[in-house]
Amino acid sequence: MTEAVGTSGGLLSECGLPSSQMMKLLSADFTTTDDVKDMKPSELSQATGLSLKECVEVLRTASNSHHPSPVDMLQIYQEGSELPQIVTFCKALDTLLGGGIPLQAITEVSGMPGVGKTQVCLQACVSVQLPKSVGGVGGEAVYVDTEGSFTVKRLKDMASCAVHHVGTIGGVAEDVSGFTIESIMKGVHYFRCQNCVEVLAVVKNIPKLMLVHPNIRLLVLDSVSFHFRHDFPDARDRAKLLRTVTKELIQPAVTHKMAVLVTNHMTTNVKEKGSATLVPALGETWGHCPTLRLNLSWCGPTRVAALTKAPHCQNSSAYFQVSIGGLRDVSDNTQPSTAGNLQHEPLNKKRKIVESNDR
Amino acid sequence: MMESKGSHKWTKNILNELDINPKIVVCAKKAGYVSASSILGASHNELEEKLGLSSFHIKNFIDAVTSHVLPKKTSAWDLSQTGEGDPKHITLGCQNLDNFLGGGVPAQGITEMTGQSGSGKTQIALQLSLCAQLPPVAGGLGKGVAYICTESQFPTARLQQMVKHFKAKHSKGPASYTDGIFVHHIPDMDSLVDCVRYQLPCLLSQRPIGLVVLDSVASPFRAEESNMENKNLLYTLGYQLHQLAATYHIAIVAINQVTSVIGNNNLYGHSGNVVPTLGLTWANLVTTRLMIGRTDSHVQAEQTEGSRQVKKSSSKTIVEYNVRELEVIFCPWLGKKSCPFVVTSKGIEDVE
Repeated sequence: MTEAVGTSGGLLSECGLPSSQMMKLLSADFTTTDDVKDMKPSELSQATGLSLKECVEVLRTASNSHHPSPVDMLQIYQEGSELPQIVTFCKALDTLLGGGIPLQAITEVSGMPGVGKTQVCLQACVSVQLPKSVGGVGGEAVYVDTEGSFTVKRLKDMASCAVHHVGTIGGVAEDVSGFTIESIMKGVHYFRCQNCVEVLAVVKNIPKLMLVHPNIRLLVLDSVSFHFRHDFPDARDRAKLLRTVTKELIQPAVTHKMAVLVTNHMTTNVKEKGSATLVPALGETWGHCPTLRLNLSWCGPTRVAALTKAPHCQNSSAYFQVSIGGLRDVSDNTQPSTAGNLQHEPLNKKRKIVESNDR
Repeated sequence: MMESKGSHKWTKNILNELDINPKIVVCAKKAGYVSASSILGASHNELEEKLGLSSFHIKNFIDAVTSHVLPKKTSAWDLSQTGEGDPKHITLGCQNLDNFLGGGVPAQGITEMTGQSGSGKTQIALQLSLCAQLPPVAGGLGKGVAYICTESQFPTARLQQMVKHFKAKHSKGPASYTDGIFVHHIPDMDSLVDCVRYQLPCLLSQRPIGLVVLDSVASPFRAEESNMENKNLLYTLGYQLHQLAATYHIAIVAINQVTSVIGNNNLYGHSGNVVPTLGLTWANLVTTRLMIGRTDSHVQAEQTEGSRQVKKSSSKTIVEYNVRELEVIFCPWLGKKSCPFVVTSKGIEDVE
């Protein structure tokens, strides 16, 4: 349960309880939420004469009435825009995402096998640790691996390139000197989960983990679909667990200002007319959960990232490639045309291509 | 049995294993929340209401169950220091191919070998069955192989031919390679899933097996209708194979077929006129996808020992071999590229 501001000492009379219950509570000397906190329903029932069911209701209402003071929109906006983002080292992709993978949000990365979903996750694990003095988040990562695609060697290669890159930028010496391959590898906390209950346990354990490692800013779940598509003995159980995981993923994002990055498989959706499209798996139960949905696919030999759901950005796409050092821009700098492109750029590009052909 | 072990962990009664207030145990039992999946799957409020306990007790309850189920926490650094995080390989006995693949055929998760018929998939699988039995210092796993045939009879004669040359080339292997290969013939879909669910775990717990070959995963499923039920069965097969790989630390190699596509198909970033069968259901379960095919080129070599003795006076014959190609379609740690090889009487060999 999250501790919000101003929980202690809220008046019971302001909790919206029926007056008959309030009378009995007051006559037994229970006036604030603190007085009933940590009491068992049976104890409260004995003390006040209320029924067990009513006591459960009272206790629940009392613990829920946090009454945090209302915050104005400007404050929320300012706080949100001040949050750094997790860069991907691919300018086109960062621009697409509005700066990078956002904190306090759940980003889904879906795509066909082999297109690079795990690579995006590994890159994020490195990028989240970029020192604050060079514009990074300076946080640690938790990697929840369900499929066994996590490769230490790939992470090391990406870390090595990132360290080299930071070395050329500058930044505050004390901040940057701590950014080494070893520190990056130590900053990625790894859990191998063999079933959905283990995934749930890891996510529920995040608050406890934060007490030991308060600097975690990224939670990666690779993938959310692997364990949930398995033949469950009871389909209702599966739907319920999925709903719980969905709810539980929102907690670290909002409460601890983390970026939650989740990968998802693609599945075929056969429509009534017989035509089939490729859509991210797990349907609508999961679909409404992510704030941002990024879909990776192939356009010829090049990888493309398309934003299919975003509250702030226009839906568009970006080319990227996967190199030894991680995600990078595609070298010739051409990008798929989007609605917001400037008019003069395509002409210049045409000229360049023609020139290179002439040579 | 493995599957019952795995499923029992989160569906069985775990209340007695927790170190919590006995009152909580009593309330939880009465309300029917005894398994990890039901407890963690419920919300805090739901548990409070159903168990009739205070928020404090419920929090302790959830924390206790969470700690009980939580997998081991480690870091990327620890994995790199212990070598646990390094991808495992099985050598192919060919230096070029091994270097190309970063040590050999990936032995992590499910490695799929797909390609047209006659391209050399079974040949590679046979070679792997021998190489897997080499000790780890020689690039093998030092353990036996479970070979599941779904199409035709296991090619015993060909294996014997390869064993002869293999023994001459590698000194450190077991005394009998054929003793280390356990062959099952399973023609249909349901029996295959049953085998992976029940018989394989039995075999794996009784004998030292390091590699399971499925030759092929395609044929039992292609013969059947492609409906939801069969797709679920295919997913179950793949999922169980992953669980086996993780529990018993074994390598899984599955052979798949291809089908032709009309027009430009580029779903997997592989342009070509063939695509692996079994669709997305299977592709999502594959860790590494390798495509094997014939090319238009040939190499000539001297075959000093032929299967047919043409002339007694001449012990050398010039043989032409079709150059095959091994291509990485996707792998979490390898880039996309290809490497040539040939199939000879000795088995799989590099192209010089």
